[in-house]
Amino acid sequence: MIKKSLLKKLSLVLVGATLLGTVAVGCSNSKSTTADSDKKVTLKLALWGEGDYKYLSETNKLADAYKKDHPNVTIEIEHIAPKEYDNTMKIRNSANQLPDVFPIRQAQLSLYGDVMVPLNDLEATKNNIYANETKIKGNVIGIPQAAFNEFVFYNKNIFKEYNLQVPKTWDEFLKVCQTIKDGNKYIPLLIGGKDGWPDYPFNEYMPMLEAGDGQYYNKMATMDAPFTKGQPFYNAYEKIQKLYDAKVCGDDPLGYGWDQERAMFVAGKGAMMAAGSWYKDDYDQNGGKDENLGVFLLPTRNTTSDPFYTTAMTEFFWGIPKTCKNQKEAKEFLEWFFSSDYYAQFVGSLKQKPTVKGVKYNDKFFAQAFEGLDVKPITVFYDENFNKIMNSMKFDVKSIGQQQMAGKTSLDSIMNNLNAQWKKARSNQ
Amino acid sequence: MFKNKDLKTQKKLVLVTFLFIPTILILLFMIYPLIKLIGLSFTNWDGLSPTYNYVGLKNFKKIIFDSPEVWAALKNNGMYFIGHIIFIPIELFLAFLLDNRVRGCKMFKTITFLPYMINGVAVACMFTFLYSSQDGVLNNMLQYFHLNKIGWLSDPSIVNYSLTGVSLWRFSGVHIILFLAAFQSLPSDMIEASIIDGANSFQQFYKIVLPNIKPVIEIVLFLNVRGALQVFDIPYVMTGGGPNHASETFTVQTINTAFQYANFGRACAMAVVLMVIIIAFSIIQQKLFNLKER
Repeated sequence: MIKKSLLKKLSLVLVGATLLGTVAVGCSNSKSTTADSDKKVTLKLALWGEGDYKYLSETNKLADAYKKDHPNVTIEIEHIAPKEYDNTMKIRNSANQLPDVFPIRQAQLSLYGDVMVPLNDLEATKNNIYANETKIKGNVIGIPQAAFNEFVFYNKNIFKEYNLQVPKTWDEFLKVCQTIKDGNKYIPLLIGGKDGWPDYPFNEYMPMLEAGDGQYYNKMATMDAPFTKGQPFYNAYEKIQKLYDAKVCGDDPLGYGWDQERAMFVAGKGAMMAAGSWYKDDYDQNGGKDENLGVFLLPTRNTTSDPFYTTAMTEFFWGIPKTCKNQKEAKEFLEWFFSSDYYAQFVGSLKQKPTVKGVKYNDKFFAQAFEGLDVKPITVFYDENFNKIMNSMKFDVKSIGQQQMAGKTSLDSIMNNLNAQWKKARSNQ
Repeated sequence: MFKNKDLKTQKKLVLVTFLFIPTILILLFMIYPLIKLIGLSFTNWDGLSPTYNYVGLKNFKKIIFDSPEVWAALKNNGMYFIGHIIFIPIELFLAFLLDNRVRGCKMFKTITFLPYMINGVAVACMFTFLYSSQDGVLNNMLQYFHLNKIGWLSDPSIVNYSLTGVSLWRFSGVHIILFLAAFQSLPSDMIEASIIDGANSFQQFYKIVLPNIKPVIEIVLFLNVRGALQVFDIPYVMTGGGPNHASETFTVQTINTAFQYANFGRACAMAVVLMVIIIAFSIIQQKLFNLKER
């Protein structure tokens, strides 16, 4: 009798303790507040670049490098898949759980205007070539890590096989594609239409290249009917429609996505693919051979006497959210990151073009694309005005690219429809 | 302490203790988010800024009267709905067969239920490979028979049929098992009596079995409505709603409205509209079903 009641009491106590324990663990996750600079601080970082993450956490550990100068700060780095990064950050923002320091994608920058701490007075901002070009609401809310140019990567062996030269005008580019297509062995231009976004060098950037202005979309936001015939957007899309109509992207460009596109390129099944300078690292990581890889700038001009424009885009805008509890340490980190040798080694290893004054860009590989050309770079940037219209009418250029690839709708009807929607979206603002 | 109370109080105490945690969880993870969702549907929150304004019924007006893409998405949902409705008689028949009427029915029962046990994203990835136009199994088979390749996921006119096929593969099994459970719960003396009265197989099925499993058929019809209107993982993983929004369903569009187009307020309104549509459809379906019986 006594044994039974003792057993019962013991089991009750155990169950109660377990329940309390579960509740207590759930409550113990509060962040520590900083009082003095000697207190141990943990800075949480998150990023999407796979190559970047590998370098920061394995090749040359950022946490160890920073601890040498700031022994009281521990750095934790988290990798979030590129496809999920933007959504994840938005969700964390609504839960007030953003990391202490994290990069923002340029396309999302205008959304974070009220969320991030202004970094206007930092030395890192003053020493950055591009930071002041991408202000949101008058503030620098992110310091860009790298600048990217857009290229067309090509398979040198295939070009040799068909005795092809690097094209310098749009018609020459189409001719190169057609020659390879006639050979019936390789896919001339790999495009990954299924995922939509791989067509961005054409459907997103060509209107800017046609206008010779990286802020052309912002200008469009002030116009009533920017999709009319004769305007840069229409002209660019006419060229793109010619490219897709030539069926040089394989027999079913909408049937394969980015993963298959890059696998086919490395395997030598395709002759060319358009991507940014960020792709080089991916190519090397996936077993691509450097001696077989060539690169040229996408020629969108009509004749050799027209100016040769190419896009330059800054990316990975490192910033600090207002909800960060260690803002002083986070700012110190950014100052250190962008002024130390670590940054130069980091971007050098990833072959990224640095944005910090004085850091040299020693990459011979991409220099070959600029040889013999008087290239005029245009910096890409979207302002808040354009983003509002884009969101209001769900303006998705990459999706329009898919529509063009399917070839079932005429260009004129696509453009007229866009004009109508644009006018409506502008009047709603 | 517990022993000294009377039975009624003891019962109440046990009930409250056991229901306390589930109730808290439901309030926290279902009721509170639902109230917040309905509240946000009347705002213009973009998902990021710390502030937002109330805009009344503007979001709902835009969705119902001024969004052709929403109606196009609902059409795609309709395809899943019709596909599953057409399959219900087939599922009933298969369940009927599996009710000890074929040899090895136990093994077949397991095989039928297996697709439902596999994770939805894994199923979607598997079928993406099957349908692939580059190295997919289906297209290779077509080429073997000297036929042209088909763009299963790239042709806007057939992508929805391909995706509906995946949904049927995944969910038919659970419907069959539900029907089977219903058949097996029928008292055998009713069927024996009908056999004595001279009823053939078809008459047995149509006049005795079906009316008695009405509650299960109602459940399956409701699951069908809810599943068809909420389908997300299959189109999202396989085509991302493409090509050019051709396979976009209502939930995929809701997610895109929230995250890609930074319009959380409208996305919440879309979620509320979806809830209303599901409830309305279920009520209509139930009324029609009961009408038929009278």
